[in-house]
Order: sequence, then C-alpha cells, then structure tokens
Amino acid sequence: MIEKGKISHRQLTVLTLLYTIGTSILIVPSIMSVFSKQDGWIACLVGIAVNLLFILIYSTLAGRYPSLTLAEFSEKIVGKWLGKAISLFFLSFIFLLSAFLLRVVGNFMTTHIMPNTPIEVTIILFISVVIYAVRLGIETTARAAEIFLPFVIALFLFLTVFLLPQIELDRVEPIFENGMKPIILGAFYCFNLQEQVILMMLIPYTNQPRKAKKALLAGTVLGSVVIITTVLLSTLVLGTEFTQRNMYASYTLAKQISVGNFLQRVEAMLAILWLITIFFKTVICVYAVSLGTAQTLKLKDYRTLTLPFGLLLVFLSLLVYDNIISFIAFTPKVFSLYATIFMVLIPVALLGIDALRSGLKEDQST
Amino acid sequence: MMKYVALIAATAAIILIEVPSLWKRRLIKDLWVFSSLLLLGVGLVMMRFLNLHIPNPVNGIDYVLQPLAEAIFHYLGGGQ
Repeated sequence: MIEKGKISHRQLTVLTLLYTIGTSILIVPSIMSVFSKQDGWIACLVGIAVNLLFILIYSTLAGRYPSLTLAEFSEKIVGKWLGKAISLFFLSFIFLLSAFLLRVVGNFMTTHIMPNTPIEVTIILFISVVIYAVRLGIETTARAAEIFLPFVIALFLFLTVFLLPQIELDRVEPIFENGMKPIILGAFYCFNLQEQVILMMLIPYTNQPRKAKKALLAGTVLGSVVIITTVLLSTLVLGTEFTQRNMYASYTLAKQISVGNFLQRVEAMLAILWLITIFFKTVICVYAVSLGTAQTLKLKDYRTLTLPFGLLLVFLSLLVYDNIISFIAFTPKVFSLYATIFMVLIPVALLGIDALRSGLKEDQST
Repeated sequence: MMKYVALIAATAAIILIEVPSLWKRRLIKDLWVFSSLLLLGVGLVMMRFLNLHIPNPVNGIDYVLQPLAEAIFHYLGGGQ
C-alpha cells in the first residue's frame, strides 16, 4: 500500500460534503437558471437523485475490491494492459478537472476579489497550498476538513438566514412552464458537475470500506441540500433573468444582504466559504490523480509526483481556456458529455464485466 | 527575463526537494517518472514563454463531442 493513512467513516462524510459543495455553490445557480429557468431547483433535485443512484453503483463496484482503488482494480477486472489504459484515461479526466478547478479559482479571484493581481499569481499560490496538503496525506486533509466544516456551515446559515426577508415566492412561478425537457437538460448538467466518481479513490483508505456507501450518501445529501438551497435562493431573491446574467450568481446573491442599512457587503463570506470547499475538492482531485498514477505505474511513493504535477497543472489551467467566453461555451454543454464517459460509462462497464466474470467463475466451480 | 529565472528557480527547488531522497532510497523507476514529468512540464512552460503553438486538449474534446452535445441540447429544448 502506497498510502498508509486511514480516515474514519465520519471524516469521509465530511470530505464528501465539502467535495459536493465544491465549485457547484458558485457556478450551478447560474447554469441552472440559464437552462431550466425558474424550475432550476427541480432540475437540481432530479440531478441529485441520479447522482445518489450512481453512488450506489460506485460503492458496489468499490465494495467488490475493498482494499484497492480504481487504478488497481481495473487491472484485475479487464486484464493488465487494458486496465492500465482505462486507469490512465480516467486519470487524465481527473487531471483535466483539477486544471479546470484551478482556473475557476483564478477566474473568480481576478474578476471579483483581486482584479489587479495577475491570474498566474493566484493560481500558483493556490496550487502550492493544495500540493502541500496532498503531500501531507489524506489523514491530515480529512482532519483539516473536520476543523473547517463548522465555519462552512456557520457561514452558509448566516447567508441563508439574512436572505430570507428578501424572498418573493412568485419568482418561482410558473412551475413547469416549458414542460419536462428543460428540467431534464438542467438535471443532466447538474449531475455531471458533481463528479462523485472521484471519491471512489478514497474508499480503500477508510476504516471500513464496505460501509463507505453510507458515508458517501450522507455527505452527498448534505452537500446537495446546500446547493439546492443556493439555487432556490438565487431564483427567489434575484429572479431568473438576473441570475442568468450573473456568472457567479450566489456571489451577487450575498451582495443583496442588507440588514437595517448596517450589515452590508458580506459577499466576501461567500467567497471564503467557496474557497474552503473548492480547496478540498482540488486536494481530493490532485490526491486521486497522484495516487492513481503511482499505482498504475507501480511506483513506491505518490509524493514524488506531486510537484511535477503541480507545475503541469499550473500550465494546463492557463492553457485550457482562452477567455471566459470559451469557458461558458464549453463547461455545461460539452463538459457534461465528456464527464458522462467517466461518471457513467466506465464504472457501469467495469461493474458489468466484473459481475459477468464472477458469475462465470461460480458456474465453473459448481 | 524574470519569468525564466522564476522557472529555473522553481525547477531547481523541485529537484532539490525530491531527488536526494529518491536517490538515497534507490528508487530508479520513481526517479525516471519524476524526471520525465518534470521535463515535460518545464518544456511546455518554456514553449508557452516563447509563444509557440501548443495544442489545447479542450479543443480536441470539443471537436469530438460537440455534435452530440449540440444534438442533446437541441433535443431537450435548450435553444428556446
């Protein structure tokens, strides 16, 4: 075993929760209202239901090989070379996703918080902290997640409670105005922006891998409550049109808070909340890709790979989008389809082949 | 000029952090993977500094998946 750390059941729940909130809290409200209009929250609900269904598939697959990660058990299922090819293909997805996450941090910080700082500086500083956390291992990261969780919950409750007076319920009406199709489209995009499949890499490092299903489900449900609340609040407070026009709708949402002309401009709180969650999402992704590569190539230590990967990630995150327009053109539409390959096709195919093979073996033995 | 100095300094720091311990533990395979990844990274960053054209993986994904993505989008009434 390359990684000797072990995380508890509760720590996996906390990591899943932060991972689910991840980038979604900032970018999902706008995407949902563009594609599903005022029914965005229903689309989100459907997307999350599908997500929970797929967590059952992921945990069943991981439960068949409780001590191995995807990079290792794919070799057991489809043979050495095809297995290695699938792992590397899968890892390329996680690597690209990490680069996207880094770029989203850079974009947000340069457009909203620190406009005079070059994007490279933000990205390099962020990846340095991420690499540091990855080198310390999953145990340390999980403990840090437990420490940060109360802050995330407190900030979120604070933002929600102070937005309640501004809710106007008629903004979600008419419900189902355009029928089911836009809701399915929104649900498809929402599902693919969660990327729960990467959490499968953490299952072997929990105390009881067979019980990981519960932790993953609980974490995802709790995180999804936060996301659905944000989507619903964006529509209820800002209205559909205004949410569509803002790329970071929930940040604009936090700007609306005004209590007696005294408590105002608290949007930095949302930025802090989001930076904490995206930090943990990026750490999990970079950790998964370093560990997976080390396992696929049969190296002794995954930490060796973290620094070169950091350099490559900074480079890739600056290369992937020329500007924000190409980000908008790519992210929900094409990215969702790209993510489907890794979130649906590969896990389902691996599970199917594995079930078929173990079925054949049983037939021969009886 | 500064950016080249920064790149060389960063590369030197990465080598100083990783290589001695790898060498001491005689992990030759790890050292090979580490060096090739680092070389790839430095090479690509250098190409970016020199304004050479670097193919963007996102464009490749976009090229392959765009037709299907558009079809799904229009079928589900996204164009309205």
